[in-house]
Amino acid sequence: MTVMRLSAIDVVRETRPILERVSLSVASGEVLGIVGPNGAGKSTLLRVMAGLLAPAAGTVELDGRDLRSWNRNGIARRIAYLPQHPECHWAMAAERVVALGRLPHIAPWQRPRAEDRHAIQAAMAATDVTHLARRSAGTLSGGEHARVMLARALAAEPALLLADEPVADLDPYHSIDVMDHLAGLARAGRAVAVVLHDLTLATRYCDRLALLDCGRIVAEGPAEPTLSTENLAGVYRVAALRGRHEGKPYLLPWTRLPERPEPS
Amino acid sequence: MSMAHRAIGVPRDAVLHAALGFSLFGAFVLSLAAGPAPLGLTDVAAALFGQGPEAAQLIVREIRLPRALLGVMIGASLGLSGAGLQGLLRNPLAEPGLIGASSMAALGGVIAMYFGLYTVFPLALPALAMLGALAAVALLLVLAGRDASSLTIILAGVAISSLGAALISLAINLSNNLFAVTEIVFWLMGSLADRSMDHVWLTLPFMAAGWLLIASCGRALDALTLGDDTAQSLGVDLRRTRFLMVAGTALSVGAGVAVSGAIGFVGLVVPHLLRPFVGHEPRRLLPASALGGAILLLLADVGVRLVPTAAELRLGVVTALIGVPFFLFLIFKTRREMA
Repeated sequence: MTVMRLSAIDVVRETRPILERVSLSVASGEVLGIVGPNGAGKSTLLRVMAGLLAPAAGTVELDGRDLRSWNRNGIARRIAYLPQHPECHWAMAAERVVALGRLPHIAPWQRPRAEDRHAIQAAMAATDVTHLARRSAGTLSGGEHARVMLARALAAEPALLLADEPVADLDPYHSIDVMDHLAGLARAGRAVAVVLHDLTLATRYCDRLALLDCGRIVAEGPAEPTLSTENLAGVYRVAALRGRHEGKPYLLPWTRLPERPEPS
Repeated sequence: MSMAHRAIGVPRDAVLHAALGFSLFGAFVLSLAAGPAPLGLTDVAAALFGQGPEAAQLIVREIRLPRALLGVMIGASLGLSGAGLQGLLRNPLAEPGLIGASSMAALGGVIAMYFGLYTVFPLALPALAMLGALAAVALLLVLAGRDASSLTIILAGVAISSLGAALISLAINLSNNLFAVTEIVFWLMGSLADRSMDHVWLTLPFMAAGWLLIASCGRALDALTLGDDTAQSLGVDLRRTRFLMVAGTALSVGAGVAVSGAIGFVGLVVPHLLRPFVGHEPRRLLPASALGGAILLLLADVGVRLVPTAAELRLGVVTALIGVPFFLFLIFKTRREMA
């Protein structure tokens, strides 16, 4: 089932177009990877999807309804947004940080109910941070911090999780760990849209990829055709090693190409 | 329910609130008992409830009670708004003076004195001071505009504070009445001496309204711990939150400055001292800081009455003398953490 559909989205900053006629959808049960070089408009696209940025033109639909007709809290109950480098300003206990993710479900001046506490516990168990509950957020390692922030996003039990570069600061072990969690969420019936720079992880974990370049979607679909040799050369100016392991394709960016090939 | 379930609920801070409440009661009693007239605690209690000699009743009910009540109200306003602003701006150096409300409120008071308005109409001073605070907020909202960042708010606050200070200096500069200048300078130093119940009744509605506005931001302040974008994605209306916090600060602190003159640093020091006791959580810090601010200001006000100096020490001078070293310590600590 389609959770979110974007139609012909334009975003303009000053007079410079950031996104041009971007159409994209994400359905429950799938991981959608948003890839593209620096400055392609990936983070902007994710912010439009989160309702944090109103597009200059085009429509965003959530559950088949125009996002503009949703109220802020309604969106917050359906969509969780995990920014790049998530910050935690005060030295709160990790468990209380995770509990913040539950705010959209708790009415003002109300205390958390049993289901809220269950959701918080389940999110912490899913990302394996239960043992960190009492630790101050400022004392966590990079991997622990990333998992606590992921638990924060999961605590809302969102239909759609938007994650901007969730593995940017992580070592290989924790990168694979986080991606396993995202894939697990999709298997559990959620929709996941994730911005990734790491094309190897994107190829392995995403059911579908949208390749962005200069604010436009250049290609969209399964990983292999989307990250074809031509597209990698045209958009990233790299060539990659390819192979298969246990039936799954892998891709490893390997050499830099001199310049963009002329369009024929 | 298992242990884990209880652990995950919102901590209630019952012990902390009881301790602060008890301290506040003690400070309030001390404030009623402190003064040049030698009255024991039993004399004070009797006078408070309309018993005992008439002179004692007059002293306690007309002089000391308003002073103590105003200490509680103004201290709570400073503590609450300091905690709220630090949460909103995620800047540990923020305090009510920061958004320019204190400075512009002081300007309003100075205008009332400069033109002698308050000799004609005694309540002109608090009324103009509150107008000054509201003008500061209006100016801040115009300067910072829609979707203002924290940095913009701080810069706009600095500009408005400087404007208030410059216009106060101008008034003093232009005045050819030495008496008025002395009065203005002393008022600016802050004091709770010789205030009446009229001051309490005049300012209480404005302060209470300000407290409610700030308290309504608790949830949003918690969410802002995760940054502006994430807070918005959690359903927080940033513009509304900024407006409520700034208006709440203007109402409560503006009304406070109107009565007491400028009293600095309470809003800076108190949230810092109490933050570790509430798990560093912005929402839980609000009530604790209100209580803490009231206690600190009452004790400072008892202090100025007990220290034997030729002229009674001014409250704003004492809070600044406590606050400035603390402020320097904070800067030092922040620098060390950055290094």
